[in-house]
Amino acid sequence: MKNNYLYAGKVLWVDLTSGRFWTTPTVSYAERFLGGRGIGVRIIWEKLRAPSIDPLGSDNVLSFNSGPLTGTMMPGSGRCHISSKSPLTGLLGMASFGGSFAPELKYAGYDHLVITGKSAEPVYLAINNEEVTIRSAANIWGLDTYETPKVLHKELNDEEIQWACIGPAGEKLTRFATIMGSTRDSAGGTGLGAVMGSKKLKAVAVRGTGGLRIANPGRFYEVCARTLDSLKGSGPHRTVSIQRLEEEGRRMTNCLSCPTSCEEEYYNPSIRDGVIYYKWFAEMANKIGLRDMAIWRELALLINKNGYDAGSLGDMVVWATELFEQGIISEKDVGFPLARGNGEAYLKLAELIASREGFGDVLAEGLMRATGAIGRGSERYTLRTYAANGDKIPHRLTEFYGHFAEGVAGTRIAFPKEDKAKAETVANIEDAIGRAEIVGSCKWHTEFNGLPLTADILAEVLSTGLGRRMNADEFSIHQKRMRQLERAFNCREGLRREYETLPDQYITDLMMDAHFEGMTKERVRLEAIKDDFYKLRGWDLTTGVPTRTTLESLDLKDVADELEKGT
Amino acid sequence: MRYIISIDATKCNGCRICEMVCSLSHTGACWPERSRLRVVSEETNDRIESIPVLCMQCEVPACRLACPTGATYEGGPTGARLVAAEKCIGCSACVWACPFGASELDVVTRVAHRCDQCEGTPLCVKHCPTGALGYVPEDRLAAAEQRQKIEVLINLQRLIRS
Repeated sequence: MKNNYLYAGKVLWVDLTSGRFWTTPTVSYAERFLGGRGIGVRIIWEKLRAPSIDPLGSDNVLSFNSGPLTGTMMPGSGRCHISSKSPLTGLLGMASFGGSFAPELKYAGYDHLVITGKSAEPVYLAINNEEVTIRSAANIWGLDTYETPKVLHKELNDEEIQWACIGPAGEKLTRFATIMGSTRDSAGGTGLGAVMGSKKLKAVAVRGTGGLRIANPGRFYEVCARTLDSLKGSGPHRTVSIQRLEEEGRRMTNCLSCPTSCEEEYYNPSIRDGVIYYKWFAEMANKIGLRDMAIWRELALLINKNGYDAGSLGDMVVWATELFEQGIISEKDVGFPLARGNGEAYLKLAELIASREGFGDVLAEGLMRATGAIGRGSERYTLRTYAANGDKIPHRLTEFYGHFAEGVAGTRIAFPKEDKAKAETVANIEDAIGRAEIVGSCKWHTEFNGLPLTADILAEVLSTGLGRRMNADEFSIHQKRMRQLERAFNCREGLRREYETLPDQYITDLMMDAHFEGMTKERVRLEAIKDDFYKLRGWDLTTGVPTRTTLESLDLKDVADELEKGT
Repeated sequence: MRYIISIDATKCNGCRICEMVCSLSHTGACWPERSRLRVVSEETNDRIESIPVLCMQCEVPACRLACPTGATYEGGPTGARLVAAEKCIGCSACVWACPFGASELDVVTRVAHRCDQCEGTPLCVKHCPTGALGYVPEDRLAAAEQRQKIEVLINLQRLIRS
């Protein structure tokens, strides 16, 4: 990679403790890790060498990542991928949001923005091409995610900036707080908003006027145009009936360069404007059995404005309700009764979590810590495996993407009932998502969602854009390397095979209904599937740690050495 | 017959694919800042509205009238309002004069640029996923607009009645 085709070329480092910033060339990372999530995990791996680092302390690192295709004509290239050590799981934390934030960062000249250290006072970061300033956030600390950008636009006197910010939930270090981007899409999972809050970084505002050079513009255009055409009509999943909402005035919003329109905003004067429909809100409603659309909208707006994760909130609420119904907690703990489907109570609980009052303060710590605080056998109902989401878990067997496997299973398309085929399906889904996220494209456009963003197409786009031939295998190796490094990071943090399991509740009897027919019901079967998966991935069957052979075959000798040193 | 690129702002989702194809075909880079048309997003009532802005091919182009060096002319196969780069002095008179904000100085060359309708096959229209952009003969623009506007009214009445 001698030229900087597709890449902006630089990594921007900002140390909030000293207030200093500097840049390094992207190329030193790109050869092995390509970009996006790949370089993101490499940065986290290098900067967090001591496993015991507090995710909410000044030593944690927060990296905003874009890939080589981010900000180009390639459909779905508006995603901003974020990585850090998660305050929710203590492992690698990753999430992403769409819009134009990461593209704008690239137009300003930076492929990655890495935040280190911790500011003494609330600040925000303003980037205008090569001009980087750390400014006081005294005016905006405490404001919600709808008010914050308004002030940013005004203070910076620029309507064209793209922004990312946290809401009050992130400031209060709620362990499932989100980082929200310009189209009000959130990087939801793993609590990265709390990391930003712990660094006292309220927002990042970016303006860039540069462009991304393309090695072969004619052919690049052709491949992108073809992909664009093949994505026509790829709308969002409609998981709730939204016919009534449509009559209230709907507006689609998009990420940069994407024809899919998977976000919708509604005009609803009875609630206030700007409620966003997105899959997660629908899923949350399903999870908690919410039928009242008015409450659903209130809840969606509350979540968006405070900036915490709808999926995690759903988990917390379901779990608390389950505990309440089982008699483990009572009105004395919560302050009011909880019952499945009782929207009023859910809304109250969500408000308590937002303000961190009473029982809300316990829940704001996330599922695992709340379990510890409550005790009394509540762990029987707690999903320990990477508490990202909590329902329909039987096939969640990997640290990151079991959730999406579940999404596919929900549609009954791809998820096999045969145990034998499960590990491979999960691995394929992980790989498809990984390939999209390493180049800075959107996972929703990949095969796992039935859409055509395959390794072949990505390799072709990269070849024409970078001006060097790369076939699907040569491209995919970067993703494989990234996946092993992610696993290595988690193992360095102490992840072992025995932690990858399911709560008793899912293994035994409680949740098994017709929907889970043929799914893993017994630990024995789960362990067999794990064996298959570890074999596929080249991980040690006893410990779950990537073997030296696996790592060395992917040019990760340095990682193998360090893992050995630590264990 | 001249053609106009028509804009249906109610359909625009703000994806900016138009900016991408425009900058890619005119500059060989993905560079929205150098695109001949821009999608302007504005937040009102907590909602994000996006509207494309580009040359409307005025009958009496204000850009041409304002240009002190005669750099703006009507030419190309479509009679678009083009800029002769060698004559442009980068004074921004056309930027001030344009009623739509569709004239812009290029960030690199500092010469004015404007939509050239891709010599008759505008790529932004071709790739607009929502149909917010259209390419219509100038004498059909009014009819198309009228039809579009009454649809808004019809919808409004339906909303009021329900």
